Amino acid sequence: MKTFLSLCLIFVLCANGQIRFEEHSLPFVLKNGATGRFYLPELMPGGVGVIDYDGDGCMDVYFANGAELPSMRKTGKDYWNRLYHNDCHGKFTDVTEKAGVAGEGYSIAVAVADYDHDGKPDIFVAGLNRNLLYHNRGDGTFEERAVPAGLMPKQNKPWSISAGFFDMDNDGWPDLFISNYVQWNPETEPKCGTAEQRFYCHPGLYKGQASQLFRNNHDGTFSDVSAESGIAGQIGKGMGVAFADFNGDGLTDIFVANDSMRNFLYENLGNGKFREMGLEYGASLSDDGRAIASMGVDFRDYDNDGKPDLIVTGMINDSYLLFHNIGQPVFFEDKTAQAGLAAATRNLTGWGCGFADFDNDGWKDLFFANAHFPQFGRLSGGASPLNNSVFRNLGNGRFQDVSSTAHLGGAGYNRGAVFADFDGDGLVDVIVSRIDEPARFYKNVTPGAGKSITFQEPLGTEIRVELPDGRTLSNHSSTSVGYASSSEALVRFGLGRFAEPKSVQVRRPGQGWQPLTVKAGPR
Amino acid sequence: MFAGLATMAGAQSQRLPEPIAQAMQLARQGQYQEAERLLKQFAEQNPQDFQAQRALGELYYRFGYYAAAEPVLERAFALEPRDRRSRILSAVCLFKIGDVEHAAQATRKLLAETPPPNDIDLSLTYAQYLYENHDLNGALALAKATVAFAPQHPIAFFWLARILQARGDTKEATRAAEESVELAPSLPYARNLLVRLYRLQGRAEDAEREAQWLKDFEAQKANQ
Repeated sequence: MKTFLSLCLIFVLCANGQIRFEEHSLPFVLKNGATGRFYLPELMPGGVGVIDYDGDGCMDVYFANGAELPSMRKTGKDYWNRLYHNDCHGKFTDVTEKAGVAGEGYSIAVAVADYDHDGKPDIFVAGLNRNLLYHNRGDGTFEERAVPAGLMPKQNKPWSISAGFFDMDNDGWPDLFISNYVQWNPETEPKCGTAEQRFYCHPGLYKGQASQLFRNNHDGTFSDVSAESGIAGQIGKGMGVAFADFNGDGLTDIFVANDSMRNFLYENLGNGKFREMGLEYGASLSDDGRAIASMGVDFRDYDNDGKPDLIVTGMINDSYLLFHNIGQPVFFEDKTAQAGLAAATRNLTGWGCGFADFDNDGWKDLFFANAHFPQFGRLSGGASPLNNSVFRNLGNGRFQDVSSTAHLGGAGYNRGAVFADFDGDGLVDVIVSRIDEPARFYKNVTPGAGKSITFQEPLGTEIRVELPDGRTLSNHSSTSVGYASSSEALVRFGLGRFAEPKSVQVRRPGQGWQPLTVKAGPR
Repeated sequence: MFAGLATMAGAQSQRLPEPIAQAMQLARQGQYQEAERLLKQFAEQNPQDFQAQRALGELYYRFGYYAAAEPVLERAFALEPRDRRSRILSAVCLFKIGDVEHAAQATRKLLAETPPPNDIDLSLTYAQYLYENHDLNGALALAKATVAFAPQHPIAFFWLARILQARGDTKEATRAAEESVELAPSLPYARNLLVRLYRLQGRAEDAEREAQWLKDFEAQKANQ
């Protein structure tokens, strides 16, 4: 199995809890094709993907972009998807044209993985009317192969919001899950609001769609196993998707955030089949029994108890949901209130989100890309564009809103968010797409942050790091994050005040736990 | 959420001005935007009219636009300081929009009055605040008091169940959640809680029954 370890140790002072960013603009402007006709897709772009496409060890970034509506065609360069090369110091150069990845149709989701095991990461883009599979040729260019790979149906392509690669059968090859939203046709778009003041319609007015699962055939193609796996049996209104082995059985499970209906938790049964167990395992509804307008999701272990937890963004008056995994027999319990997130997020609407350890203290913090729906701000008494937010994990089950001191800049219509160390300083940075404005690059400049260690492992690999003080940290390899986005393909740990871990245990897909020798050294 | 939402312009015995009555009718029919347009226009034309301000505030409140409702209810209260309903709704709004310090202050003041307001929205919102701030004893006392003055209210029992569950009292929580379901079999809230409570007690079949009910409920809603 191809595995290698990259390690970076940053020798700076210990974490002091002052998460701080420097806000920079990227040239990419997300266009949703809005013309005042209030087509529902206008709300939905767009995702972001992290990819080291040229293998220089530095994380580049790809943005999905919308298209003209109702034609759903990229009628000009404004609508191009964009790939930016990173010079390893966080300076990004547009290489879209040369790479041949401008795209077609109304793009929303980005997923990144080396689907054909040629050692070069590829890009999958899903959207309203077109899926694209960009195969990385390794010379700075890509070839679009969605149709020959079996990922673009000849007709009736469902509207997709998110997509993610994961290993459904522990064969070491990335399989693909596509989260589909609602049935939509511009000709039958309902009109909502009044004659004077139109609104986007509630998702309740549209029929849902089943999501899709494609198994990797190991030959550059995929087979649609949606029906036989049980995925097609559930009609949802899927948005974000995230992956983790929530029950510790060595198989990767799937969580789909559904808009205004119960969320789906697909338990991987290990025989190519999944069963939806969200309600039974407590991850479908908020603790007050309501389905929220779920949008983004991340699936990681925030309290280092070895069991992955869930964060789900929603709409104003929902509060974002924090589902803590307590294991059998209940699995998930809604800890939003106890974690201090209920009141703090009740007045927000969130899209991208993620657990990431911004101060490298060993506890994963939370980042949210926020924005109300246009026109909604007026009704809620405020503006629709919102600031992004960051919550520090206090290590005791609670999160503290540190947005006001984190230097996250001004408000906007924020959407997809990705997490990666773009400038090689050992700190996790954030890139957020923003409708009608340049994307934001939040360079992490947290003073006194701890050291970090990263591992590059196959999707689904779980890693536990023991610190010299006996504390154990846990994380796993998964790129699908937040809303329609794909983060760096590294498993990252903050080491707090320590220079290196005491020990590392790894469980690769289909294998047992085993020690991993860490060859440490400063970058 | 808390049901029992105020009937717009509720306790007013005098005849309502025509635009308010018309807006209330529209709101009852679910035509929120039209009702809002009418009431907003009427309130702007009559800035000193208490009824107009309170009706607009209650409309926003009823449809969950708490940030918009709060200043309007404040205006209504300023115009009619004897109107406790405006203060109650305003306090709930403050909780909902995250101004919890002022909300808690206003609520404590209201709860200390004689006679107590015995308002379900206020009591349960404050119980939720206490619950979210780890004062489970205070939350439990308030939920019990709410059940005492509203013994037929399913949401009061639901909150009692939630708080009991958080305190680890699975048996009593189950009883309260079942009571909530009995009072309002068509409401989903307590059933979700029961799924967990039954699973905790190894009652897999009962948990499955409640989960299936929730799935059927959602499917029914989708087909409407």
